[in-house]
Amino acid sequence: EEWRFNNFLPETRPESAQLDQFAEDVNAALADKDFTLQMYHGGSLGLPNTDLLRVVPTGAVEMSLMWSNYLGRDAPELGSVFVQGAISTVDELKAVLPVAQEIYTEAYNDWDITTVGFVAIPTLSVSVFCRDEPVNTLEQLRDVKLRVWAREQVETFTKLGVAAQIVPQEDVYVALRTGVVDCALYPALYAHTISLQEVTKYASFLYPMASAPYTIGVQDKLWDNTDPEIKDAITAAADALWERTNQYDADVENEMAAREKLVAQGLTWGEDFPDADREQFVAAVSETWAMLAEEAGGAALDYRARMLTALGR
Amino acid sequence: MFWSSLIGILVASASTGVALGAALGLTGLVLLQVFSNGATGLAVDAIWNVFNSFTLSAVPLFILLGEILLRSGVSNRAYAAFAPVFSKVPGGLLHTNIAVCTIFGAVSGSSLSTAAAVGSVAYPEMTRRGYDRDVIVGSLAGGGTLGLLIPPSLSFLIFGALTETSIGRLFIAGILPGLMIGAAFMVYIVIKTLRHPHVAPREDVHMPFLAILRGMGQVWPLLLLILAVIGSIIGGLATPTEAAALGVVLAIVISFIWGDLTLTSLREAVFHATLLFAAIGFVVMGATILAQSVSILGVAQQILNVVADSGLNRYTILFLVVLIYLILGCFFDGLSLMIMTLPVVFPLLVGLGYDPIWIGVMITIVIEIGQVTPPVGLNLSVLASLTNNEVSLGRVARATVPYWIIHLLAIAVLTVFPAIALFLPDLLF
Amino acid sequence: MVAIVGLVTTSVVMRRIAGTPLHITEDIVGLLLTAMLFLGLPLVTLRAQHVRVSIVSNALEPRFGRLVHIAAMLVGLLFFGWIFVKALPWLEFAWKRNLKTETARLLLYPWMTALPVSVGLTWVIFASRLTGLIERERYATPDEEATIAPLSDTSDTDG
Ligand code: NA
Ligand code: NA
Repeated sequence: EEWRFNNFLPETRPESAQLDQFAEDVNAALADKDFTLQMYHGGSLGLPNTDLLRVVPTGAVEMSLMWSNYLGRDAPELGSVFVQGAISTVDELKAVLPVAQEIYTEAYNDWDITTVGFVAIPTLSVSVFCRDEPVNTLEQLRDVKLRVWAREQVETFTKLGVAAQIVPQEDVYVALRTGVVDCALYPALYAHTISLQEVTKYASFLYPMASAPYTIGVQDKLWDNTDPEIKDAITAAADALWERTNQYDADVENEMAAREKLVAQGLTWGEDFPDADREQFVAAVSETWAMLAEEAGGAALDYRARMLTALGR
Repeated sequence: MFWSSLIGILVASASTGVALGAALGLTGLVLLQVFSNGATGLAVDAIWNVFNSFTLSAVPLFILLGEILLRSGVSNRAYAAFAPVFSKVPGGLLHTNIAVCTIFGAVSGSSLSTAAAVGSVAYPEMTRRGYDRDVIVGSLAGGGTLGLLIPPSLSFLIFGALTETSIGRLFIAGILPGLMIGAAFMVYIVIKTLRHPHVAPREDVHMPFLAILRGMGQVWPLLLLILAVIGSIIGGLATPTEAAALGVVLAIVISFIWGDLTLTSLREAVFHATLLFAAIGFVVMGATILAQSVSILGVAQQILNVVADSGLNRYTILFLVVLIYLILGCFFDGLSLMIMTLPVVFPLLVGLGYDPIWIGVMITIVIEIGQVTPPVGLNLSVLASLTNNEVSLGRVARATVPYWIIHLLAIAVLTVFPAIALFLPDLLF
Repeated sequence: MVAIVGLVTTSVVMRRIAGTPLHITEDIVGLLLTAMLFLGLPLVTLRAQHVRVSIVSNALEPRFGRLVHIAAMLVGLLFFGWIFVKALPWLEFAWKRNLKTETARLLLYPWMTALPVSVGLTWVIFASRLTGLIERERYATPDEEATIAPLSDTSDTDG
């Protein structure tokens, strides 16, 4: 028996290497069983990551990486558990992770999906990359067109008086080169993946961001009918995967190395946005979070309350 | 079992002569039903996703642009002006197809938009001038593929993001091979028309040079339009979709003032463009369902993995990879094929010592080939639609074979002289 | 189509001149595109302007014309019927959950309705062809066409 694992991340991402390790662990543990887990990276199974709530419950693919923030169209309650930018420090993240994992397990359960494990995402530093002139205050940001990647960011920046628009990942390069946008919000850590340093000259750090972990999902029915030995091997490998990824010590170091590399390629790294601006930003994010939970209604309000309690806010 | 079902159902349903979209779609549905746990609901999501797209909307807009120019007589005047320029060259206006496709390739990121935009004007104008229909569509289907190789290019953007290679280097690397293939197309046209003069009538207008210049001077509004569309993209004013919309507005203005566009003919143009897009869209719809049903099973990756583990030498493996792309290209549209195969092919070829940028160029070329291999060759379908099936899909495909061979030759040349792709990016970065 | 042109143009102008991007453009254009396709699909079917593979069917035409035609109509019926059946729960899902577009927060189901309606209509057209309510498709051959076919809308209507 072979299970396909749908990974929407490009093969080059560190998370994909971790998932390869996960598959290797599972396959090693089940070497004398008729079972293999086969990884498919980079969305090569042709499943859009926003549609996974329609695919995984059908059992059309056996196992899939899922990220709640992509699933907001079909499940607004999932999309509003973590609002990007609302949780910034590692301490805050560690405080909410157990609650978040509990919430995700429940929420996916409602969709007939069993959560067999989690993959942690490193804390990221989100910066503003601009093509023509350095921008490192909100004041300056109000004069340019800013690319963002999620609807919640549009809401937040609109509150701050910044003209933000969503440009999908694969269009950012051309959008910046042609001036459809002047600046793009992006983590320096991943900037090279879309060759951002080739179309922008200046960058400044705006806000730190801790993200919702990825979950690994399997259709309920399939999971229930699976040999317990196979289930155990998968869960054990998933626990090890979580242990390996739930580490944030190297995050700052990696971020600095990424920035240095971009600077070596000709980018000018400017001063950070002032603290006062960042406070305005965080305040706007909180408002957005409340608004999204309100809009999603139902379980979303409960989820937000539980997250806030864990944060002590 | 899987491949025999795929091919069996597809051949049986398509050979009834039903709309190709229905044959492809039905094959996809059966495959989903049998091999994917009955998850045929995925097909509906797949259809919705592919059309609910801002980028794809450039295709009908460019078709509309062509329709307006056609119905207002503007394109007729333009061709009348250009014809004398090419009257001495064997192949005549056929070369304009390649040249315009090359220029248009510099504007549009997709091969489909390129074929649609150039074809909607060129086909009717050139048939009217007595050119052989098959030869016209062949040059358009072939020329259209240049849209992916000449930057900006959708395939380079996706390749770059999936493999973390420099998009700037990829774009620049596409230029020389693109021009080389374009030039090879023109050489082929010259040879073809020397051997079969009847396919491209020599227009016996012997105009003095000055008269030609004066003729060209009369088409300035059209040149302005082309300049505005290309300029707005290069100059950073608009994305290709936006430029297409601006182009339509400009074309309406020009055609009212300078051509014979009336409200009635404008309405006809809109109606006809909508129908054309729907005919093309139906094929895209079926192709999408089929692609989804196959890609979810990971069969392409499994085949490539066998090649990867074979331990053969680097040239044999490259040959097998190209061969696999040619076969898969029959059933898949270019970009879905690329996303499906890259995670296996890219590390495989990099491991064998091929340059990542070179791989990007090579894969783009094999994907272009996929755009012109039946039954799922979207460029072919676009052209069959544009001719209103006067030239059937099969005839378009046959007429495109020489262009297909030129692409293969280009891969061979690039393998022997990788510098053709790598020289410019190395120089500039 | 007109709406797409208008909207995209306005959006460029707004962004360039007024400096305020229209957030809703991309969402709406995508939806208009689907609407246009699904509007066009039954029309194209009615006028039999599809892209098709005609090599085999043309060869069989003289002897088995009627059978080939029936087979073709059955493939069409099966495909559109299948999609229609699958599109109903799909639409219901969007309707019950009030799904909206990501950016512009437009309700999706009114737009999504176009899919089953269009597919259903197309199915009816195939059914009518099969039962003879509509004259069967007659594929144009180049010789009977006017020279500049795309200009003349009269030569390609069989419906
Ligand atoms: Na291009
Ligand atoms: Na093909």
